[in-house]
Amino acid sequence: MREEIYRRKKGVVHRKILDEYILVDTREGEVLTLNEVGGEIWDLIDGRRSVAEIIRMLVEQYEVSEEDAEGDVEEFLTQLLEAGLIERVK
Amino acid sequence: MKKLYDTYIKAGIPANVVLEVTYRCNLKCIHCYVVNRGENELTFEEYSHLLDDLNTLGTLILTVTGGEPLVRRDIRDLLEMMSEKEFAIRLFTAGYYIDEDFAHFLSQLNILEVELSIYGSRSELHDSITGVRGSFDHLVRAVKFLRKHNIKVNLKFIAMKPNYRDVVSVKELVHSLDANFYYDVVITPKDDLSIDPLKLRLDLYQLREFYSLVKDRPYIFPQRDVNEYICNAGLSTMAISPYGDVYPCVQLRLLAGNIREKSIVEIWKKSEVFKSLRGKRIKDYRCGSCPLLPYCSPCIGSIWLEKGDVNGCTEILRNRAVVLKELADEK
Repeated sequence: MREEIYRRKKGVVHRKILDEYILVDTREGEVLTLNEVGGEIWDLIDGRRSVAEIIRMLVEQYEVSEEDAEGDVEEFLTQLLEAGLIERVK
Repeated sequence: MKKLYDTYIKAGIPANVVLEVTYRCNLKCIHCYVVNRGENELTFEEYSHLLDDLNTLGTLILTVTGGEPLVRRDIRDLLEMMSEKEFAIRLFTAGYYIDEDFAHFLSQLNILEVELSIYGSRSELHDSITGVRGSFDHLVRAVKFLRKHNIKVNLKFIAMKPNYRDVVSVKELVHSLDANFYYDVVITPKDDLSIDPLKLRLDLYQLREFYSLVKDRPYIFPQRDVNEYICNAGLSTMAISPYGDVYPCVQLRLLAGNIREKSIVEIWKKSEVFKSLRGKRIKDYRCGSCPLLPYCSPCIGSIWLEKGDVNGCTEILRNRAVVLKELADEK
């Protein structure tokens, strides 16, 4: 998964309110709330950065081990994929 | 969605802003509350600045309504801009101008839902309410195009004396069109406080008949704690007229400011109208001590329109609560 690149799906809008990221999938009418770290990963899913780059940025910012970050990011991306909120570009 | 609104109220940010982009309309609905004053409408550029300000505030949803929004010549550009600036859009329209091309256009935007009103299951009845022959056919055609393009469609039946007995057929039609069915019985005075539309309201006996026809339980109002806010107006929503006037909602026309004179951020944060609403809970209104509160969804906007005071009640709200209580007691 590390070399893969994802982007946010069209029709999903978001705002950062207090410490939460609120996502609205306008196609499905679904509302999803992400915590701050989830929101930051969401911001990094821009159709250009690879999964490896996202992991590296989180490791730098939160001083977590690469192994932990990899597990968390991959699990999070899988959830977003299943929810139809992101799509694979590469 | 409730959690979304709760989060926004906690943050003091408007989640949903109603944009009345024009008061012009091609229909002449007999119950309509809108009064077209014919003033200069906000321009595309003014909306562009407004949207940037709303984005700064954190607003997520725009409800685009009118009048008939689609009579604006720049409506495509406006909707496109709202989508590009990453807002979710709810569009309220009569559907008269929605053809296949427009439905396809909408499907490319961040459209949360399109809401249209339906007044009867046949053209004679519907058109007699809208005052325009062919409006029913245009409505049905619009719904089909919208659904073909996978856009969520809500069809709202406004129950009045001339049409309430048709509700069963309307419901069947709405479901056959693969749309969501809603209804409302609250007819309000016009924005110039004319009470003409009130003669169309159902009386107590007609309300009983209406709810017995609807059959499936009318939606149950959530249990209200008197320490809650009475509604979202001024707390997580507000409305902006085509002339830039800012109100808590489209019924509670207490002027909070005008965006041609002050920024929406300043109006939202500093207006006394909004501050006053934010300081009150249900218990601070007459509704707080009303025994019918569990069967009511108090609407202070409609009360204000009719009584000139938010602290009161109207015949239609009271009668609806009476009927809903009777239905609950029967169970």
